[in-house]
Amino acid sequence: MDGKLYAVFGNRIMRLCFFSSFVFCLLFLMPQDAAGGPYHRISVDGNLDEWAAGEKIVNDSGDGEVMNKIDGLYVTWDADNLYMGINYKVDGYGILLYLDSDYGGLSGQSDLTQIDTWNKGAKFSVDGFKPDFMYGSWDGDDGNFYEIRSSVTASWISAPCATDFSSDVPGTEIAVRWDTLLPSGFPPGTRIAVFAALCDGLSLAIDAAPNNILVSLPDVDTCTIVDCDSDNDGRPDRLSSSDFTISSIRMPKLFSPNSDGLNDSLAITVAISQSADVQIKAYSIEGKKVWQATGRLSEAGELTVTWAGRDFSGDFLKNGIYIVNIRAANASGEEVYENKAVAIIK
Amino acid sequence: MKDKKQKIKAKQCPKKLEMRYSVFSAVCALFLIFNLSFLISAKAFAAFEMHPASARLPGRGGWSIADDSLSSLDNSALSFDQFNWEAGRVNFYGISELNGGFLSLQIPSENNSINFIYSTLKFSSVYRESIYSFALARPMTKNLNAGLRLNAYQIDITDFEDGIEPRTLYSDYDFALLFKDKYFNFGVSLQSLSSKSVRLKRVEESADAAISYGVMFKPVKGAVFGLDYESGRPINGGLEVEVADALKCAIGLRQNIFTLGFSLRLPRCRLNFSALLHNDLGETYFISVSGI
Repeated sequence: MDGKLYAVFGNRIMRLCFFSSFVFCLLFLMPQDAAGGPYHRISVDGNLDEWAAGEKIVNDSGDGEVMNKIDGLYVTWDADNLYMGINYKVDGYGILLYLDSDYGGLSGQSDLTQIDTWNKGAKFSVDGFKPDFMYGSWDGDDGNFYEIRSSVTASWISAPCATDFSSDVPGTEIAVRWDTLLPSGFPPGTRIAVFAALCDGLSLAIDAAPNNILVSLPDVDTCTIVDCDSDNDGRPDRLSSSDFTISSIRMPKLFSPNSDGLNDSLAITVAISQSADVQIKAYSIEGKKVWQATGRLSEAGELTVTWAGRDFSGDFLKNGIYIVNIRAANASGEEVYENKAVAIIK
Repeated sequence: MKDKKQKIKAKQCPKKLEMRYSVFSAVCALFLIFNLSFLISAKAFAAFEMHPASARLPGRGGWSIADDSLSSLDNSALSFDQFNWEAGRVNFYGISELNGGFLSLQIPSENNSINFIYSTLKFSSVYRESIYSFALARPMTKNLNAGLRLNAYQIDITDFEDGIEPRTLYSDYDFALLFKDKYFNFGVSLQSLSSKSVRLKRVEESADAAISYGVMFKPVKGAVFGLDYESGRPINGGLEVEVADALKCAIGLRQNIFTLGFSLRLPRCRLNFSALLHNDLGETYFISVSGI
């Protein structure tokens, strides 16, 4: 009897173990996107040309891209990082950016007139805006990122920062990990607030973004608030620009790469609704990548790429069905793709 | 006393001989296969690479060479105790014009098992691959099966330029051995034997013979996992678990594609579903209905 019971329950337990491993593998191998993949990953190089228009949260249009003026502030993010960009140029001045990672929360400081690092006499009178991080750079250097620990101390923290005044859209880019900004996790409904200003050797001065309403620098009576979790799901919102699509793909269904002068190559024409980076790959029907090409559309339109029916090593591919995967990514990091089949008949 | 011992010895002799004969044949077969494997190169022909024959197999990674229950195009040595059938469809990577279908029959007889598979892959109205496959499996010993499969291939192509062969027919055969034990199986399959070069238009391509090996483990009742290996290709592997009396779930890797599947027993039939999740290409779905 005992042996029978053991046989029944032992077997059940073993099956349960197998099922647990099944579920574990399922979660482990789940596509990264479903678990919160990147939305817009910025390459931190000081060139702000990859930022989308919708990511410009302050447009100081009255200034233009002129020396010693701030033209705009940019904010975007992916699942791992918050990215900030400042479009400006300086000569003989510095720039400071103040960030409140929990706008409306209790943490942070509103009076930085006694702080030991980058003390430029900043005093914030905006309700709810208490910066807990700041970035400082002098005369175009890459600068550093700091955590404001109290009204008198700030300490350096590791965050990639880069400044480039020679690029088309000059300025500074900063990437900070969410778990650095919010070490106890990403609270539902997270809002951040930012303010940037130029400074001279003594205090905030000359220009700010956004511009003060009533007071003069170094006092601050404004900031820009960004809602990072409007759906309150405890994850950074996905950025979207809904009209980004692959409008059409034109390519023949068969071609014959056999050097007889007839249909020897495949012309793939892709029409896309926005400027985008385009990747075209060919796979065998079993899913093995055999060829790849890339292209870039600087504005909405068509792109044509030709495939000679050869693999990566330059050999002609065998007869059979192949899958052409066309993948486009816009400046906001939104990605669309489409698959088409083609038959190679030699 | 001495007579009694002699009688027992006389009774044991045929059994011992039979066992020795089985071991000898298995060793000979493995030796032959081992040697053949050096003469056989990887498949060169790209057509018929992913022909569907079952919706349960892809879900657990597609391994089938050492399987002892489901019919596949790779395992002709499979023998059956009862009649079974399976019919299903497949859509590749969400491309509406690229679909496949299959029908398989498993027919047991007194000494042999017969397996018929019809499988087709169609791309729009321009290209179609079809296989008609007939296998005969025979138990050689209690644990060892041998199988022979005859395959007839048909490729139909629309007449899109001069010189195209609108219909190409060719054939080959497979030979397989399957060693079955209580806790594990081992199989080896020699495929595309005697196949000749095929010309669809101008260039002749050879459908070279291939050798594949497979193992299947049965650690507990209701759970199996296995691997298939063919030279020059990634390993296919995965596991299938009976999580409830009527439900089997499967996961696996097939040619580096993550696979998932389930099989639900319904009154008088079984519903099978598999998904192949490719990182770039998206999903391929298999669905079928089978007898058991």
